[in-house]
Amino acid sequence: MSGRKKTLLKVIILGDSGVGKTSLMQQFVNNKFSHQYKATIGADFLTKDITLDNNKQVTLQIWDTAGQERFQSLGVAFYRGADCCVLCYDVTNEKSLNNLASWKDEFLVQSNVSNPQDFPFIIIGNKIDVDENKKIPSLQKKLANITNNQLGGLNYPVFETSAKDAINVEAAFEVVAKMALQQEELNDANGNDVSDDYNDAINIHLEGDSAGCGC
Amino acid sequence: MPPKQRTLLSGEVELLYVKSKVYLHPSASKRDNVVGFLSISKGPNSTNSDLLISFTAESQLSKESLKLYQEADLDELDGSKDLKVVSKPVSSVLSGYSYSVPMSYIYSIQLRKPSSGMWYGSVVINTLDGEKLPIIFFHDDESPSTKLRQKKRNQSFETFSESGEVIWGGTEFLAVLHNYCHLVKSTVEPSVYLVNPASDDLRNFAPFKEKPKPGKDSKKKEFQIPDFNKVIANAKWKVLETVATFSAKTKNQVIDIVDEHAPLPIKQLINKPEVQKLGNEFEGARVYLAKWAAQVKEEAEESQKKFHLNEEMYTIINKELGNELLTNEEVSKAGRREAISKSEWDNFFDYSGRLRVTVNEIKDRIFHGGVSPSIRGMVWLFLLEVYPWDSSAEDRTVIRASLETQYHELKAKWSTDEDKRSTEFWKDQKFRIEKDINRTDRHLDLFKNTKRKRISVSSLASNVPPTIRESSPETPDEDDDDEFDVSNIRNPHLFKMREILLTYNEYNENLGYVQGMTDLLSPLYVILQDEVFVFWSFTKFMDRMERNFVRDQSGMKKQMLTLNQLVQFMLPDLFKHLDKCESTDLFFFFRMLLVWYKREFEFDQVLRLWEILLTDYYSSQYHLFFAAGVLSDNERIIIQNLRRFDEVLKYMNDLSNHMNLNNLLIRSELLFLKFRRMIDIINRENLYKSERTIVSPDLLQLLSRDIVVEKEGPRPVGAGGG
Repeated sequence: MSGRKKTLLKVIILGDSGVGKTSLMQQFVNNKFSHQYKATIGADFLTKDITLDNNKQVTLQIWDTAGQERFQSLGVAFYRGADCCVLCYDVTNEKSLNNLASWKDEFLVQSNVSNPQDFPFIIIGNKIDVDENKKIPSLQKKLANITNNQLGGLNYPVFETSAKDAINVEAAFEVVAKMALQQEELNDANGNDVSDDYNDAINIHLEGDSAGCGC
Repeated sequence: MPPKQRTLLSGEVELLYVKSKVYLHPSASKRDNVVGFLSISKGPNSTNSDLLISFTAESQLSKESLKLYQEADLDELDGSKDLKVVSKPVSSVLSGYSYSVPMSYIYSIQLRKPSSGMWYGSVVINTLDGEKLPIIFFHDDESPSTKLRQKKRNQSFETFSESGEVIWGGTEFLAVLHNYCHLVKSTVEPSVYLVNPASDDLRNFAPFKEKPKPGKDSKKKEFQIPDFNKVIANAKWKVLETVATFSAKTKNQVIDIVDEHAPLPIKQLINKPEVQKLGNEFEGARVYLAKWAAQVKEEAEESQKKFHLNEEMYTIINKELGNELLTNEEVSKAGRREAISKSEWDNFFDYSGRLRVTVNEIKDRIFHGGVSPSIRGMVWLFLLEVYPWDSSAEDRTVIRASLETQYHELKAKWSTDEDKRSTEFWKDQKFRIEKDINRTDRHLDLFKNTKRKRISVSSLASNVPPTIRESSPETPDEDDDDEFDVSNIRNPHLFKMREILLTYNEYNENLGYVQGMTDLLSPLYVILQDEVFVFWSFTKFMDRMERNFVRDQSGMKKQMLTLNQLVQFMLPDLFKHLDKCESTDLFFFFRMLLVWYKREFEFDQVLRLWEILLTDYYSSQYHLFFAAGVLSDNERIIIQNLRRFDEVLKYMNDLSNHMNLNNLLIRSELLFLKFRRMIDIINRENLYKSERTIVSPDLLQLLSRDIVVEKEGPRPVGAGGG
């Protein structure tokens, strides 16, 4: 099939329940929005072809996940081979901001990526269309605090978006694509055979063992 | 050389007409094509009505016979009038791919000429029984006689026959046939010729033996071609026929068509913008084609129903499942019945409102038919054992009053306790509940907001063109609640559901709200619409569903593991394929199992399915057999088309709202019965054998009707509600 020639980039969207993961994905892929996307159960993905600056064609496979924390233990089934992880919070919900680090940690544990130190993460604060008075007070300071102290001080790109009004969504995913492509090329260079890893993960999972550790 | 004359022995026939290089296409894969001869032959002392029309596979002919057939193919052209005697063609569909029917047994013959989408012309023979024999395709470009004929025509500048028709193998066959029988063109379907029609048939002029259903154009609908352009349409038609034709043998196995050896039109299909758009995913074409194949299969099954009105679906499925394992009685029991009506239900009770039939009888009845909406609320109160099955009407009045009191006591635990309500945990729980209540089944009238007043201030600030605000198909109601104030629930029913979930946290202090629980609550609410009853029904329902939500996910993992074992046990081929696709974790069943297929069917169908599952008639874990039924229904398509974890997951996720509940119910019941029989056989064999076959305890537990209860432990200190 023709698609196989294209680069497939796997992106995982994580974040607390209700921050707008499904909405962001739907807005980016299908340019639509609804207040009433049902709570995601399990996982699903949509894909979109995009062309990067250098005329490179890539296909983003974007995985939308459940926000309920306890469902994350199933992530091992589909985090494997991820090229980028999007950490989302809701600019009106401080708890969702405070949870960013645990989402990151959980992802690294479940995905067992080869380069946890420099695996590409991107942070998206969603719902900027709401009134100022509903937003987290001194958001920027808190966010900086979290990235410096909890997220390892790494310079993860940060986007503020509105999935509802389609603000910054495209731009954010363009950066996601670029970062993911770099990661993919890195994996290729290291000769990582993702599919074999994948196989192991499934077997481990089935035998009822705990998920492989991130070290 | 004078014609050789000799008397035919029994078991011998004289070949009157032979066309070489005709094929059966058992699948779309060229590899599976069966090459052979179409012949008309005459046995000893036979009349025209005893003439045999046969398809004989080349592979089944001896070297000698093969030569005779090949010569006979060219007879008419080279003028040879030698008597070609061969042994009588096999007369059973069962012997390989060859078949042979007497003329008198043929009802009609359909001739379909080659067209741009269907490279090869074909002949379909319909028998008096209403059966369609495997379609014979004329590979004219390979047949020496047809090629010779075409060459001759070309030499005389006649590309077309007298009637302007393109010359192909079928026209010749038809011409020969005219010599031996009375052919009448059907008025309903011009490509169909009735063979020696009886007067009755002539009156009806039906192209096939089954009497047309009311509405003469029903025939047209069977092959109605949606969308796309003609090439695709033709390709699809071809698929449909392939499927429809091999009905009896392979009806549910369907469609090899979409593999690498797919005919050209299918390959073109992959490049269609519609397909790429619809697929819209990496290598989406294959997933798309799998869906497409599923749709074709559905249509083929629909059309089959029209041809085989008297054919009971369960016999087919039984064939497929292997009827050696099931008795006819079991199979006939698996049919679906009418839903229980109010009067039937009322008749189950005596004057004091006590059951006068056994619970098992009622459950049997519900399991096989469901209940009608008007009594659903009442029936579910019994199914969920809010009302004991042995209670009298009077008992129930007392129970109701007591439940009412208890509910309000529980509710008061949070509603009158301000301290509790100001804890972080409680506020977090409330937020989670409201967040999900606001997005649960909002398409139902009951849960829509009635008045169109905009409270939201945020929406005023929006200066975005309306196109972007277009709502998705699942949310026709644009009159949303204010998303950023989820506690602002304006719909009174949603409000009550919130109260119920908050109160449930008092009843079950360990679990806490988990996503998916609103999906379980909403159907109960819709059918009962009484806060007290809904609450207690929910608690009962949660007794069995709690294991889906426990913090460490052990309950879900256990079920998926059991399903994994069940698939290995019952559908080994599929399991092998899923293994290749790295999909044996069956992750795509997570959603289906967690909320009992709530997201996979229309709301009414969910109610039907749930009342069946709630009976525990065969197994308290019948939902796993239903899962196996879903897999079995898609087995062929998955095996043929899907190769990778993500493709399988996408295909399975997208089955949502595209599944036929009744078919799946029958299929899963047969799977259960077969499962039970297999366990019986294993147990029996184990009595006599030194080496025992061990069946996993998880599988054995599937035979139990007692619900599996797994409760959440106490919340660890400091743990949130996640």
